Amino acid sequence: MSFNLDYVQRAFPQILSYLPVTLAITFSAEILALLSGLGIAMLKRRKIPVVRQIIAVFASYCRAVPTLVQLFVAIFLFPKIVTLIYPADEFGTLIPGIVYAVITLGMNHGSFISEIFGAAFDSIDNGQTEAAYSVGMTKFQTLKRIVLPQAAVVALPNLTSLFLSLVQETSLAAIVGVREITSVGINLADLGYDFLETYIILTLIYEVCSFVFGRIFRTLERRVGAFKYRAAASGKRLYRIPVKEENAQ
Amino acid sequence: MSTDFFKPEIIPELVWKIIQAFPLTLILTVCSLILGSLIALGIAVLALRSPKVTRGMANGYIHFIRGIPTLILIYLLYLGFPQFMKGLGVDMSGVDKRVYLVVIFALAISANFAELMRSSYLSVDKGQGEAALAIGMTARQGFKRIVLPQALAVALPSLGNYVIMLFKLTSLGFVVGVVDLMGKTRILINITYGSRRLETYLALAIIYWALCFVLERINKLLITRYTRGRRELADGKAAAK
Repeated sequence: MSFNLDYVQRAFPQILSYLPVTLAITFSAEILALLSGLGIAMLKRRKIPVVRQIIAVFASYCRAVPTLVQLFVAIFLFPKIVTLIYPADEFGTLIPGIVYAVITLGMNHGSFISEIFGAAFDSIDNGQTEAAYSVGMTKFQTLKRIVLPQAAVVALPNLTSLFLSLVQETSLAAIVGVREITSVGINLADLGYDFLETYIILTLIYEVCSFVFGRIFRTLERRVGAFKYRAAASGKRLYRIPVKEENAQ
Repeated sequence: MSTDFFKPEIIPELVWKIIQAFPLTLILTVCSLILGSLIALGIAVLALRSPKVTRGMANGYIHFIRGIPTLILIYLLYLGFPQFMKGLGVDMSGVDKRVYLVVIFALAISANFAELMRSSYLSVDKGQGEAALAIGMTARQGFKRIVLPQALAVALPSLGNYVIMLFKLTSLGFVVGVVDLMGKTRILINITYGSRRLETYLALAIIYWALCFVLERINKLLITRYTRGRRELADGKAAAK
């Protein structure tokens, strides 16, 4: 076994120092995705003729084309668009690739998130809204107190798995030239042919990230869904509120 | 703006050139689909067995595979594993790149497949299998004729999505230097010294778009075919009312 421990000691902090970049890509893409997802979901409900078709084509593009290809298309397309709008000094090519990567990943996930949001809102019975109106709540109050808390419970598990896949998809940004943990790792590995060590380090980092984020989201899910348990505990127990059972066998 | 800013008219020609590499993408997809299903079957069986150890092992495997980006998995197994085997005195240099890729993609999708197999098996009511035993079928017949078709109907929509996912995943194969759709695109770009990058990648995007559209259609047909039993039952009930 030729496991180069010296190299691991040297490379590990070097790779780890780029973890903030990976996390920055992940979080900014996720914020963009949530915003655009909400926007697209709302536009979809309006059913405006041309906008609807554009959204459908965009959703189909996001679903059918590999993320890597989307990244490549974006990284060569966006600078041209920017230059077209703002021709001075080829301005588009001056913007670092990481910005384009974030926009691409964010819009891509936004398309999926819009579907999750749409499904979550559809899952809330109309009677809930009507009941809220009938007790005199305003539209905003209804949304905030009645619809959103219930929709969040439905949407969160799907958002979790989408977020975890986003963490992994940031590794693709390495191929289009963004310096984050994967690309730093690849460079270090190529220098001294320490492939096994490098990729074990990278595997570890990604596994730990997935694990930690998975835990955080599971806590969040429980917190957001807490009103169900609370209602069940404080109510007169006239009926049993179904609690999500894992691996029911 | 100069005239060679963007030339959409060369895209059809590029599409034709890139699509020549489709057979390899198809082979990679089909082979890893088969191998991945077999691995997933093993994992699902382990996950459904009662001893906690096997269930824990299966869950651990599923979590591990889901937590690692496929790109890293490719590098780890294609570059790291031979180094590991070399340390043990086994030379892996004779193994074809495509074999590596098939195994890697199979591993990458096996976690999702295993989870899908388990959940769709569990979604079929236990009474169905018991009823089959009660009317004298063997356990095997009951599984094959009663449980499996129903589980398949439950699994199909997600299965279709995973197959499309796998198909898109094969685009990562180019990092080890195989000439699939993505690899061919990279070659074409290198030939033209990167002057027509955007057009070439757009051509590739169009190809994936079209092929996924076809896959989605096939999936829809299969879903209609396999949920026929359920729909007939539902119609029958409606008619009886």
